[in-house]
Amino acid sequence: MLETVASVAIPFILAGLGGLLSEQTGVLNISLEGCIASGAFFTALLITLGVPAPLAVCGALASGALLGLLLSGIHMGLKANLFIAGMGVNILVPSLSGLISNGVLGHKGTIRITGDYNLSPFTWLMIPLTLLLTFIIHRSNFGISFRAAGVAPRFLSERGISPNRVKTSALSISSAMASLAGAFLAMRIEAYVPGMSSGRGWIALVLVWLGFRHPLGILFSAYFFSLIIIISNITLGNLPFTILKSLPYIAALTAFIIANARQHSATKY
Amino acid sequence: MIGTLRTISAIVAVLIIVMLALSGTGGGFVSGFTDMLLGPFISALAFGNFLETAAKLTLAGLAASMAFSAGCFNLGGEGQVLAGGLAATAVAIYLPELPRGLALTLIVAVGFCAGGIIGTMSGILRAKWRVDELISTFLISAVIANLGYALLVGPLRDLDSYLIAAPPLPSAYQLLPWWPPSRLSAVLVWAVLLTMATHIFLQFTIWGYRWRLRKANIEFASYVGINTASIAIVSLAASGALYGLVGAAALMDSGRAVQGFTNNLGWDGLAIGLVAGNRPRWIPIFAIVYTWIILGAQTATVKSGFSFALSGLVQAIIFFLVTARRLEGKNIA
Repeated sequence: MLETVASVAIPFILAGLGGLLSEQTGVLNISLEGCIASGAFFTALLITLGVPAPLAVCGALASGALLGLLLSGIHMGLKANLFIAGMGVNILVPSLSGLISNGVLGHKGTIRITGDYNLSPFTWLMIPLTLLLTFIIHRSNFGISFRAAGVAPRFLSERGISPNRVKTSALSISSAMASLAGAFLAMRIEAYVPGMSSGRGWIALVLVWLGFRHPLGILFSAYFFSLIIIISNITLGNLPFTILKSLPYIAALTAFIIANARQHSATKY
Repeated sequence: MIGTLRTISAIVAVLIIVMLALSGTGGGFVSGFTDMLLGPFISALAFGNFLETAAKLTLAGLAASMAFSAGCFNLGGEGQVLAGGLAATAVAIYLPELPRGLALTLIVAVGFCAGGIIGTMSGILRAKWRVDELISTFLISAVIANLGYALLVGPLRDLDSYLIAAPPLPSAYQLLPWWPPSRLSAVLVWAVLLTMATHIFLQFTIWGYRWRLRKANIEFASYVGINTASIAIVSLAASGALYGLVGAAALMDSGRAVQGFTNNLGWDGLAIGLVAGNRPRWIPIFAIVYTWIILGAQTATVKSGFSFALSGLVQAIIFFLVTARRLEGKNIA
């Protein structure tokens, strides 16, 4: 049971930690959902084209990093609204992957990949990864720059560091981590299915708040959330699948309401 | 004019993307582009359907615009359209014997209210706990999409059909086609009247002024005594209600609630509303251009045998560019 929970939590942890990195710099990465889909698509596509799995995952990471750069260019370069541009990425990815799939494979549907991928070593690797990220964010110069870009960008400028460059790095790393989550999903089910990110990017954003904007908090929230998903799958098994699919969104919305109610008990506007 | 350069940039970028996409199709660029430009005009059927689609997209654009006009964002159009359509379907299934006038009034009112209730939920969350409506509208919409599908495969399903669909609407619930065999109907009139009503409301009433002030400077609006929280509720409710109306129109257009009958109207409406920005009166023009590009490109890609969903690419480009302040050439600190 523990291993199942830890395994279900992996994409949430990867994307959630990615979301946290971007949130720390003051640019919340709304495009996590699209990046997960992109990671899954490119992993499946590259493996189908005969690329070895580790290189395919690198390709997925690169696709995520590029999406992060795109979002950053549009938000910081062109000064577009971050939320709307992020939604643009989320809408662009399925359309673009359909186009690429049609051009390369001749169809827009499911891409099956065969291969006996042993993903179990990754199950518990998330704990040291989270600890490493905690150290990076809270103890390293790199992490301090990230946090300063969010709360005191002028401080960075005075030290000769461009806050925008830090934010761009954060968005790229964040998107790459989400695409890694997508790569993991595709390899776990040995296929890419359009729409397979199924709201995981949004849940990852919620975990950033549920986890009190701390890597360890995100880790525990992801485990808790995965446990709820597994329990609800078992106990509510008689409910239609479509209703079960709504539960993550309901949970995400509830978490947002609670987080906001805590922060803004007095409504001003 | 603020926003003009952004709009032009978005339209030019969309055209470039469409041209690039068309040049990649089998038939070649010139043939593809000609097919795209002439696509909606090749027959009376195509032109009637083009007008009907543009009318629905005008309504969807107005729906998105109602929220923007008060400084709110409604990303839940997809769910609200579906809710409107399915609520209308339920009425038609459970009250099939109503006289025509009452049936049409009821189906429109129910669609309107269903979308409005969902929009109101996000408005209340915004007003009560300051839950960002960008996120709440989207998440509620995602829930509605799943629940709606559950209804279509469950209580509303037509067991005699091989489709995932509700039973066809009784004839009393269907709008009469104006120009058979095309689908052109009274939705065109709704679009014109509601565009005028929205423009008058926003530009010539004290309530419209308050909405615009909230958008321009929420702190100042609050300081001068305007109840910005209630405006958020009402604007999101109105936006949701119009999306619900689009759902009822889409239902009457397709004749039954079949899986996918909402056909991306929520995102299309958002893209059109974003391009129009502060100018809802321009929405019909942008809706016509948008419909022309999407339907024309569809014709071109289908003819070349290389069909793909162009609307996602077009929407993404619009989302990227229409809020880009840098394109105005303003000095941004």
